[in-house]
Amino acid sequence: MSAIGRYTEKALDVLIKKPLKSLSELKPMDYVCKKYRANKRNFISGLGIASIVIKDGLGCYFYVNQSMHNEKIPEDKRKFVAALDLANGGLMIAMQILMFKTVSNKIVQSKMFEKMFGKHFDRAARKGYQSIIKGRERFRTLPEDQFKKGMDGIKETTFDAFANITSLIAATTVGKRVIVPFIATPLADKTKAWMSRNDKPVQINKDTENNYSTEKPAAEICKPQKQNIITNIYPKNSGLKI
Amino acid sequence: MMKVVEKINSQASCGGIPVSKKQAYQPSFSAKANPKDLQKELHALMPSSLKLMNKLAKNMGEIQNIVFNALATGLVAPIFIKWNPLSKTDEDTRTYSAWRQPISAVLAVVTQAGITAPFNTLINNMANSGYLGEKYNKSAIRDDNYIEKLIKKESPNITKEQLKKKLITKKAEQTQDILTSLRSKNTIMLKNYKGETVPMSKSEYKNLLIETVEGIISDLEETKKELETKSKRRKARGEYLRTHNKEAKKVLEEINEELQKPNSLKEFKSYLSKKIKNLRSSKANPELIQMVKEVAGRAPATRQHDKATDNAIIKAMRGKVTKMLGHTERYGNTKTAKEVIEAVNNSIKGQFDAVKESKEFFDSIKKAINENSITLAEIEKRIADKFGASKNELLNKNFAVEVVEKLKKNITNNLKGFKQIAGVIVSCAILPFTCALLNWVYPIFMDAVFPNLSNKKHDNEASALVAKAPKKVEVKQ
Repeated sequence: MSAIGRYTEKALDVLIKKPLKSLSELKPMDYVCKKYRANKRNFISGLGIASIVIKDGLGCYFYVNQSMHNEKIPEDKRKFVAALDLANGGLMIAMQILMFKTVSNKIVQSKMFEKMFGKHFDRAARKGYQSIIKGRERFRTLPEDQFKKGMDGIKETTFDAFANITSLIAATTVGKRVIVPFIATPLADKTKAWMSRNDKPVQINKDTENNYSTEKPAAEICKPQKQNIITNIYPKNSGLKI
Repeated sequence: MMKVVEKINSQASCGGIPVSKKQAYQPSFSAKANPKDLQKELHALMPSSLKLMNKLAKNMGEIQNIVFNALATGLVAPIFIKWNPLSKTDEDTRTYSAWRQPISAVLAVVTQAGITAPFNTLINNMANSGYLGEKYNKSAIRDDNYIEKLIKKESPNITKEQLKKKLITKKAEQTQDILTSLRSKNTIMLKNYKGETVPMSKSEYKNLLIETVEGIISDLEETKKELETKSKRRKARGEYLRTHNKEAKKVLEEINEELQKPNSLKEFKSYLSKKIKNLRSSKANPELIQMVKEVAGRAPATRQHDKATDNAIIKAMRGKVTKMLGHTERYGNTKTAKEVIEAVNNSIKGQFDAVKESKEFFDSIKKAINENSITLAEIEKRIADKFGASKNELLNKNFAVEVVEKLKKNITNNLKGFKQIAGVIVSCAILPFTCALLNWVYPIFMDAVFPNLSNKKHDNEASALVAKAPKKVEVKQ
C-alpha cells in the first residue's frame, strides 16, 4: 500500500471508524436498539421526527445566516434569498413531520396498500394462487406453511416498494418540492418584511446625497428616441421654469 | 425465517456441502421445494401492477433515490418559486432565488453520493467485519455483497460465473458453521474488531435465545387469535346455514351445476359476477353473497392464462362449492344455535389444543433458559421428543434456524437504530460545509451565467444609467 493509502486508512480509522465504534458501544444505544428490536412505533417515529427537526433546523439556521452575510449575493436580493431559506426551512420541517405522520407513515401506507393491492393477498386470492401452484408438478406436495411464507415474502417486498414509491412521489416531490416552495415564496415576502422591521432609515451623507432627478426612471430617459428631449421630461403645467 | 431457510434450501439444491452433512443439519427442510423457485413462480402469476412495483423496488437503490430527490429539487421546485402567482416580490429576485434550487440539487447529489451513501456502506462493512459493537456484529451471518467483496479480494481475476459459485459455497459454509457452533458449543462464534474469533458474550447469547422463544410464543398467540376469528366466522356461517339452509343449498347447487359445464374460466367468472349482482339486487342475505364471493375469489388476477392455470382455478372453484355444500349439509342437520356452536368448537378444538400445548412447552423452555439450565442442543432434543412426529410446522420447530433468523432480524433492527443516530450526527457535522459550499458556488454561478440578475450587470447597468441620468440641477437650469 502506498504512503497516501496508509495515511488515508489511518485517518479513516481515527476520524470515522473509531468514533463510530465508540458510539455503537454507548449505553444509550442499547436503549435505542431495544426499542427498534421491539418495533416500538412511537419511539421510532419520535426519533425520526427529532432527526428531521435537528437536521433541517440546523440546516435552516446555517443557510439563513450564510445567505444574510453573503456579500456576493446582490444586496437587494440578499434578504429575499435569506427569507426564502427561512420560510423554506420552517415549512420543510412542518411538511416532513406532516408526511411522517401521514403518507410516509407505515400504518397509513399499509392501509393504502390494502386498499390498492389487498385483494391480491386476501384469503380467497391466496387459495386461488395456491391451487394454481399446486397444479404445477414440482409444487404438488408443497406444504401450506411454505406457500404462506412465499406469499408473505412477495407481499412484504411489494409493500416495501409501494412505501418507497409513495414516499418518494408524495413526500419528496409533491410535498417538499411543490407545496413547500409554492407557500414559501409568498411567505418569504412577509418574512423579508419581518426581517427588515428593525432596519433604520439610512442616514444621508451630504457627499453621497442623491441629487439626481427621480421623477422618471433614468432607463426611460436614456431610450434612444427620447435622448434629444431631455428638456421635455416634465409636464408643461408642472410649474417648473425650463 | 425466510432468508435462512432459503439459504439452507439453496444448499440442498446446489450441493454446496456433502449429502450426509446436509441431512444431519437440515432434517426438516430436505424434502421441500426451493423458496426462491416458489417466489419466482408466484411472481410470474401475479398481475402486472404488482410485477411493476417489484421491478421498481429492485431498481430503486440509494443512489437512484438521491438522484430522484435531486431532480425534484432542481427541476420542480424552481417552477413554483419563479412563476409563483402569490408572491409580490419582483420576478428578477424570484428568478435569482429559484436558481439556488438546481445548484443545491447538484451539490446534494455530490455530497450525498460522496458522503451519505459511502457512509452507509462503511457502517455495513464495519458490521460485517465485526468492527462495530457486539449488537451489530454480522461476522457470523455476512451479507452477500460483503462475501463477494472478500472473494474478489482473494481472487481478483475471478469470473462472474466463478464468483456466483464461490458465493454459494461460502454461504453454505457460513450457515453450516453457525449451526454447528450453536449445536455443539452452545454459542455463536464472532470475529471481533481485532479480527480474532471469539464466542458471543453469555448475556447477549442468552438474550438471543430468550427473544427467539418469545418470538415463537408471540407467533403462537397470533395463531390463537386467527383461530378465534376463524371460530367466530364459522359460527356465523354455521348459524346462517342452519337458519337459511334451503336458500343456501339452492344457490350453491345452482352454482355447482353451472361449474360442472365444460365452459371456460372467463365464462365462469362472468356467471359468478352476474350471480353476485342478482343476489345483491334481490337483497339476499349478506352471508350468502359472501359465500358466492368466496367462490369467485378462487380466481385471482393472474398474468398467465394457459389451460393448466385455468383448469387449476376451475378445480379450486368446484372444490370450494363442494366444501360449502358439505357445510350446508352438516349445519342443516343441527337443530339449535347451541348445537352449531358445539359443532364448530369440536371442528377447531384440535388446533386450539395444539397451540395451547405448544405455548406451555415454549414457556417452560423460556424458564429453563432464564435459569441457565438448558443448551440449544437440549432444546432441540426436547422439541424433537415432544413434537417430532407432528407434521405441523408450528409445533415441529427447527430451533437453531429460528435462532439464526432472530439474530439476523435483531442485527438489522439494531443497525437501523444506529444508522438513525449516526446519520443525524454526520449530517449535522457536514452541514456547515455543504452550506458554505452552496453559498460559495451560488453567487459565482449566477455571476457567470446570469450576470443580468446578479451584481455583475447590476453594477454596470447602474453606473451606465447614473452616467446618463439628468441631474436636478441641470434640469432646473
